[in-house]
Amino acid sequence: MSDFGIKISKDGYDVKTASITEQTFNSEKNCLKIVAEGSSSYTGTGGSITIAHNLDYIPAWLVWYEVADSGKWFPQYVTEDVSGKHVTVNPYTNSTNFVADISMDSSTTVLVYYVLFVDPIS
Amino acid sequence: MDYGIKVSQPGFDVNTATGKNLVFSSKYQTLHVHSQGSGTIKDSTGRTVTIAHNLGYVPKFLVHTQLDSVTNYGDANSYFIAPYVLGDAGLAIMEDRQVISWADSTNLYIKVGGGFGYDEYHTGLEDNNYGTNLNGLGYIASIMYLGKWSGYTADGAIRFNSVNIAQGADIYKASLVYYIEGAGDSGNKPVSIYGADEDNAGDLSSSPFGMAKTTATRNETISSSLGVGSTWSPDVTAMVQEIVDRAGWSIGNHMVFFVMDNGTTGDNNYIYDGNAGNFYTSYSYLRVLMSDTLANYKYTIFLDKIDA
Repeated sequence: MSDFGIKISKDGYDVKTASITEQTFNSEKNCLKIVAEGSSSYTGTGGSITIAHNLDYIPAWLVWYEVADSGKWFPQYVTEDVSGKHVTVNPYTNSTNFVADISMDSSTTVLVYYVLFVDPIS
Repeated sequence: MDYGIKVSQPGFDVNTATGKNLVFSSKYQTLHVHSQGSGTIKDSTGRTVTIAHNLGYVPKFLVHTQLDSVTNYGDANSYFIAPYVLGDAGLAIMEDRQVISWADSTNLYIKVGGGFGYDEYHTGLEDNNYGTNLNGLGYIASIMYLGKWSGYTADGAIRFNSVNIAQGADIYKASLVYYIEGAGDSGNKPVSIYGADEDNAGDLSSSPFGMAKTTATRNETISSSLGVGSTWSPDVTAMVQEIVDRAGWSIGNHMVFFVMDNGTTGDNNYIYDGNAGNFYTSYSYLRVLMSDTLANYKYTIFLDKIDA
């Protein structure tokens, strides 16, 4: 696309000459679009959270989690002493579900916050 | 949705395109960048960086890290999503070797584990890399006693294989991590630590105590509170520096350290390590940090909250 479309530049840049990194929107480039987000909690010593998305393809996603109402939010897959707990979260998606496998060294509550994009991972 | 804005990808009719074929749709939320930045995490500044966002809520965020001299994957210009766990570390020591990030309602934090950035050199669990001189009794190979055993004060020696430090390289920090495989009675153990002033120290199948010692030395007291399964980690930076500064030192040579009794009191007040450990964390090793700089980072904080 060269002759038509929509471009919005950042403050201080001429939209007609601004490079892609100087634009906040360009209809030639896809934006990641959130189709679903939310949270789900798990309490125990190890298990899974499953969120159905039913997109029939694997969407891009992001996830963060909180241990024991600590107020600290970590991205995926980390073992770290949080409030005396060591927790590992292994999130993944398939064409039907977003899943977070959770393991910890002692029983606690883990709150998982997920963001699913309508855009596929490829 | 009967109103709004949709922009389709080239080749798709905006009236019929599905979500994944739209480059924009006001139906879907996108992420809005609050701030971005970059920096360096250093050992000398506590291995943690705190970035204020002051949003009053926990924002969504992303952190990427560049591992600089680390060559496990990628190259020196590669950035990895944090959390990143270095190398093939087992779960037991993941915390020690990871770059992690987290956010609360005030700050974004990026933290490097205590062992991250260190190169480790091992004994290879070889018998001939441990030795003890029991003063008044003689030399014992394959085990490194410290303290006093059966009436004899013990001087210990340990050799680390294939130390990949270039001749003359600057050493930022080095520790001898001594794993306590067994122990006798409890008690403090004063010791003096030396390196073997050798270009390429031979194995310890016979007594190494005739080797010249480094000028650099360090007096330490092994605390009585250290029990079986714990480690004692004295600083040996000056000794490692003196050895690699030798004109005849070459990368990949072997390095020996002596831990000499310096006034142990109490018979059977001893600890030991030998060729019994078979797990990664269960034997002694030398760890060396070559630079204060551990990792670079880039972060993106979004205005959008984690709205749990």
